[in-house]
Amino acid sequence: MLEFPVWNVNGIGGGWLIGIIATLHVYVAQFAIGGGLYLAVTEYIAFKNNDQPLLDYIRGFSNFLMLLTTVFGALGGVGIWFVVGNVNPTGISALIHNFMFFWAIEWVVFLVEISIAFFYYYSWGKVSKKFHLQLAWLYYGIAFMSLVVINGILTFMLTPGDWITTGNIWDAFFNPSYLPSVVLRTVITFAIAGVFAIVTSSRIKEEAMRVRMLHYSAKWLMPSFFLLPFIGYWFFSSLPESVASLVLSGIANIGSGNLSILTRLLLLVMLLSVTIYLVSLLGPYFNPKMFTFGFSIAILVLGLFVTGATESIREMLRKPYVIYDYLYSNGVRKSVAADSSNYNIIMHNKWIAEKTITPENQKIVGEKIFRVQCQSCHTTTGYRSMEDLASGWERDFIYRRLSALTATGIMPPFMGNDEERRALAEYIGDIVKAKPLVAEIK
Amino acid sequence: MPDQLPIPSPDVIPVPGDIGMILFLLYLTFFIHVVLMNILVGGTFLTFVSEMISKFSSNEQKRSLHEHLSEKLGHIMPFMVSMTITFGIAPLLFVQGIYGQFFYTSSVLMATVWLSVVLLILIGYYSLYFYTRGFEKYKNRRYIFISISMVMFAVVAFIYVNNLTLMQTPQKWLAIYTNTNGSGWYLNTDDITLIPRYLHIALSAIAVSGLLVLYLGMREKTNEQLKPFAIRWGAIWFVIPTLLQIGVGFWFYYAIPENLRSIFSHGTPGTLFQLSHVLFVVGTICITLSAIGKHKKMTAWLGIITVLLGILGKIINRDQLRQAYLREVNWTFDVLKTAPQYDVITLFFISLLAGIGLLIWVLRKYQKEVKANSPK
Repeated sequence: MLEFPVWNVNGIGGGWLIGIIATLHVYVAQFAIGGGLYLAVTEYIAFKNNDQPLLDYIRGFSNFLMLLTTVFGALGGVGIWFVVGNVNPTGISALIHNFMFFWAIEWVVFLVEISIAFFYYYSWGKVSKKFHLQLAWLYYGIAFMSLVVINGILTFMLTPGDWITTGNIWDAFFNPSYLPSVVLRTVITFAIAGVFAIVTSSRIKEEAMRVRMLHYSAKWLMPSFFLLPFIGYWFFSSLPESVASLVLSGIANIGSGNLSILTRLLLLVMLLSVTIYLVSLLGPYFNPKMFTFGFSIAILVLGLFVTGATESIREMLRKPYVIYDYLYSNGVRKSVAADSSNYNIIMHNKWIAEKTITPENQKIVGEKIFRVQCQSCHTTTGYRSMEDLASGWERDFIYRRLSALTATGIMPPFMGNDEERRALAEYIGDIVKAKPLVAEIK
Repeated sequence: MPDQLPIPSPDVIPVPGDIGMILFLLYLTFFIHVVLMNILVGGTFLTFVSEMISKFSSNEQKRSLHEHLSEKLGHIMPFMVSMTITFGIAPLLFVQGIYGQFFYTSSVLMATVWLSVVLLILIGYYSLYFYTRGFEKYKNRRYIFISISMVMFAVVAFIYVNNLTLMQTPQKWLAIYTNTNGSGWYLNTDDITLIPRYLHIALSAIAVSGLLVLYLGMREKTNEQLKPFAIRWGAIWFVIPTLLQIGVGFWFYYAIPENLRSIFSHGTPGTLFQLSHVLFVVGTICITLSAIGKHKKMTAWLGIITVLLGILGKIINRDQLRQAYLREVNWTFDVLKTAPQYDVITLFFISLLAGIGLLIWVLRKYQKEVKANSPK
């Protein structure tokens, strides 16, 4: 982070903080979309069959959807924005300078979406069936549009495509993974709608109706069960070769560090997803009578884990970048990093007051360099801590390792000259309680 | 720009629109956000006051009227949370696009406090939910819920004022960063404009909510007693904070460094400054007249509109003052490179018009259908 101050989050680290808020938001936001389709289709069926119990159920469901999405959904989006702005201001600034007006379009879409949600909810029993159903379809159409717009910005971060060379906004928006990602997310929204509907269905008191709705809601998970493997393959094949190789080598090469985490996450997503589908199939679909509210909450929580894990995968695939091939995770632009070993970080960084390194201030400067360059992904003693990762390392090894960070394939280069690298190595050496250098003892 | 100040360089990606147009959009969307925010922050306060009177007043008629009013007001508030947040998104976007160097920095310096607003709003909202949905069920305890919401929203407003004052004083940043060790635990309380600025906004919020109560009174059709009562009560809660605003306004004005506040004594900022005061005076007279004796609907509307225009003037003044603060550190919009994306901008305006059109269609159809379906 060369321009901005750095928020000093130890413990779980900034990355996890973003992850937690993003996961909750994405889960609810995708429910807002899939739930819209669930509302429209179910209300259509209820009207067509003049089915009052079904109408009563869907009215309750719309209340639940409203309560969750109009505030929690909106606030979650703002929450991500706040936390990313705090953890990686350079990243969010780059996105806003590129996509300001796409974001403004997203805002219009969201505004219309929640307004129609209010109209829909408050017009139950007050307007004609036809108009109420129209409102449901309108809501879904607009909610889907919000996915279509935001997806361009999200996928840009992983596959900026030709934008890197052209700088053209349309290249940025309609980037290589745009289309598979829209389809992937759309199908996932059906499943999430099903998961939430299983929860609301399991609360129905009257048994026959509960059984019926559980069976019906479980069906909503099926399209994604059958389609996701194919769409997932399509999505992965749209990624740059270097990213795809990260996934493949991760599978073939279960070693230490991030690669194995990526592989484990992929396996976790697959296992959890299959579990969700199997439980939904064996529970609400085939044996709805035996299915309880507790089970439905378990499915809901599993779904949240899958969302969290897939969001983590998306973030890890980008490594070492936050905007692929353009901006590193620590807020350093790739172009600036071209001559990294000659970069004079303490001279360039406005937040490091020390402009020369002396034996007295060496470790203080080392700490400040750590904060600027490492802390966007690492902590000293918490998540991805230096205490663990550099445990047992000698100071000289740390120093040499710092000049070969890019060899990991998932880390940006160290930006700084020899003296600065030594200062950082000394600081990390202190964290892992490495012995002082032999030269110093003498 | 003085070298010693840690102001980040502008983003290398140009601003994707004309600065004037972005400022226009910023003022417009921020104006709507401010009015909604005023209704939310002041409205939860007035709901709380009304709730307390309905609980503790010795006058039975007063208790009953306030019970109706607090229920009515309370029901609007959850919707206001949603709308205030949504209308906050657009100005947040535009402000980051042109003042990002300052806004992100101050946000990081008080990051922990800044991020807490998300949680505080969530607590405030769901507490409101319990207040409105459990109005009968929690009859004796519901005041706790509205109190929580009121405090949460008042604190959120306070945090916002902290960040938006901190962003315009880069002279203090490095010392804050050093002293807090980047922990993000910081409030800008040593800024002498902070308290009067906050009070200025808090009073404005109560006054605007007074207008909301007055409006609810004007619209009241079923309860004959509530109608004149809400009109008067609303007008009082508009007029008193507005009169207090004179004192707070002077305090705020004289707290601003002289060389900066001098922008309000001449040129466009000066004209706008005076004009908005004239509008507030006219508005206050109209609101007072409309509530004395027999209610005069047209006069009340004239009052509401002039006050809203006055607020718009103040919002533009507020940004002019920010620009004056930033000129102190040799920053102007000239440092930003722009490369307008006219095609995307056109698409934005088309989507905006289409969205408004769609909502108007839905509203009209909704009104027509409700009328057709309601019992004759």
